[in-house]
Amino acid sequence: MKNIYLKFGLICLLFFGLVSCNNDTTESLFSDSPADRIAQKNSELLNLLLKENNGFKGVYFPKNDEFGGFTFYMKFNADGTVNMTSDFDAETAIETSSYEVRYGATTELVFTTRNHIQKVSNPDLPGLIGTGFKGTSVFQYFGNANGVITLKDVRNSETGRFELTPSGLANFNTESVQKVQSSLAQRQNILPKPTSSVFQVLKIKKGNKESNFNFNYDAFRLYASPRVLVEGDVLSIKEFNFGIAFTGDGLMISPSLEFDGESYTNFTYNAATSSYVSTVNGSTATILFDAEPAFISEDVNELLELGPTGFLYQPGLGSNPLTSLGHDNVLKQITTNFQTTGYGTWTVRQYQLIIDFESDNCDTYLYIQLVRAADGARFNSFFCFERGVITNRKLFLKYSGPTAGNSVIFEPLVMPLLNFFKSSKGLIYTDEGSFSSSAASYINRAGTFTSLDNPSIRVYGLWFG
Amino acid sequence: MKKLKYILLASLVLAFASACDDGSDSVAESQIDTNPPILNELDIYLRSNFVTPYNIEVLYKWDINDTDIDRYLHPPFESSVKPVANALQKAWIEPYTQVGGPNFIKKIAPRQFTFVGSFNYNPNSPTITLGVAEAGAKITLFNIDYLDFSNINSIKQPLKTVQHEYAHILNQNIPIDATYGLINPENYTAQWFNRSDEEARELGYITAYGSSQESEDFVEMVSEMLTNSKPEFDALVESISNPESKAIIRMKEAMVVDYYKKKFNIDLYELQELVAIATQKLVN
Repeated sequence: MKNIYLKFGLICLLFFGLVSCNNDTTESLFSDSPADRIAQKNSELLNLLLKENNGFKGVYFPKNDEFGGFTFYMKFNADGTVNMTSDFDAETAIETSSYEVRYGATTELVFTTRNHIQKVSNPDLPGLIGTGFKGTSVFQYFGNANGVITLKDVRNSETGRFELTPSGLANFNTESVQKVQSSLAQRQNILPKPTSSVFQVLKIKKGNKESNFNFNYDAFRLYASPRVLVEGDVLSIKEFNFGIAFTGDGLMISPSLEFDGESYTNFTYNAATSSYVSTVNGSTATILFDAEPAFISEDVNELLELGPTGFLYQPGLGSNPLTSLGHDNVLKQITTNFQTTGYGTWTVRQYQLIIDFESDNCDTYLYIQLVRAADGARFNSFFCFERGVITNRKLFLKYSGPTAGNSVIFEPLVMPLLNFFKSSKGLIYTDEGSFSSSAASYINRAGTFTSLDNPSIRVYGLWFG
Repeated sequence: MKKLKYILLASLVLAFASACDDGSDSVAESQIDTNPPILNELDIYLRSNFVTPYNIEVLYKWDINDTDIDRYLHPPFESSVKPVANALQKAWIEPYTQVGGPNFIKKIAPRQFTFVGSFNYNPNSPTITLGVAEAGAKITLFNIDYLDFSNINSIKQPLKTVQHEYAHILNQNIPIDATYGLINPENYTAQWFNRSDEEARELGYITAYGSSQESEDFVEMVSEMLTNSKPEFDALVESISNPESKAIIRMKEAMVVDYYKKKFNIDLYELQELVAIATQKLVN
């Protein structure tokens, strides 16, 4: 009996021995181990970075749904250092810092110590305290196409873009700085000059069709929100949004502007017309300064509802770029007028515009407060207008003269400001939300007035009760 | 015959065990990258002065996981690192070593410092975070790019942070007397930032942050004592106009001194003097 069990056991064992060698190894997806593949990916990026003896040009949009972008030139060295310059600000000297290619969530390029690139994530930036331009020091590697390296920020993978393109420079040390200085110059070209119109317009021409957008450029955030009137059952306003990065010969936008079946990305500056032009398949998109806005909003009708409130402009409340250089020149002209008349140095401390739509009895008036520099004494003056009239979405104010006293003496000296408000072609009013300036933010409603007689003059101020 | 069966059985088991070996699990070269990192002059200095003697690592090269990923921060300039590291060595490690013995910092210390170049702004709050201590193992110092080493008050800022966080670490090793929190708990508040330091002192707290809670109260006392010389600290206390508050601060001072003496055998006043001299030398 024992023998039977033993033989049975031996047969079973033999059977297991035979079937246990079945080759059930699955097909291997990768020929290399994970560690090797990580090392290869890291080497791939590092070799690409080191391959370019004169470095890369990189346009970095940290978050193209809030901000524009910046141009960098970077040269990566084998000792773990990187030389860099950028057009972020006027400090364009090449700086050296450290970088690493390492594996995080994927292969990453990390700028490990501070250089130009960290200006984009500097949270100590006035106006953007706590966030800066929401940039990063850590970029994930997403691939290489013809030498163009695509990187993404793990926090802003959808709206952040950073592409490194071989610089094509012959001498990185000299040419890179010249390039970013050219970009900085282009950043100035998009801003209005003291004499240019504040009405910055984007015109798109395709065939015989022309579409005009109010450009709405935020120079601080390098961000544009062009608005266009769209015809349908009812007229409506459609808004587009994109960030702007400046290049040596113009600018590029991100995301691209898709309109009427065309996609516009790169614009070239035309110095003769002070405009930026993008041509795609015969269609053109042009950013320019125009005599009138693309369309006038109905904001001016809000003035009818304001009641007995005044519009205040006071330099002491801080500056806002919506107040134009042309307007600053008006105030400078008043100071000059006092000086040339022999009164010494006087400046406009503040002025207030009170608008009434029912009375011609000087219930609409401009109050100007002047300061005499010699002793700091303040002088008040009042200038009367007839009732305000709104026609074709424009405000018309007809000047009727000064009140008695100082105002009579001051009238010819402050005439540049009176001319602004009595614009024969009217004033355009725009609601600008709550008040915000370089010095403060208040919940008071803010707005701008622009003269159509001289569209280089625009003032930003707040409404008070 | 029976023996023969067992030999046959053993041979079969052996054959069974070795039959499927195709050599694929043989030991190959390690897949772990053991290449040494690129070390620059600063890295070598930090290894020589912190890692080797104290097993403390100073991280200054950016790793997004070292700080709060939701905050917008950036690494320091390389040139900012050595002066701050040197300040830690001279005004924190060496005085503690002198009064606590050569092994004091080696045994009780954060094992990592992370240096961050930028300010760390707190969202929805008018405050910034100067430093963070995590589980007694790591201290993060912010805004080191903005320190002015010709101004003693600027240098005192990171040192105060370290003294503050290090006191937390000491408390985590040996807790403070629970009666400390009973001295004047009535004005502890989460909105401490609405108070000035002067207002807090009139309430019996050495700083506004010290009026946030008991544990912060204690370590703020320590850090104020260790970033001011004794005459400076006494002047600060004597400037309090409310005599009751002044007495409260003095009572807290006595408890802090007693804690250091009884728990660590450290004369806090001696330590205070050593730190003050070292800090002054950093400016000179």
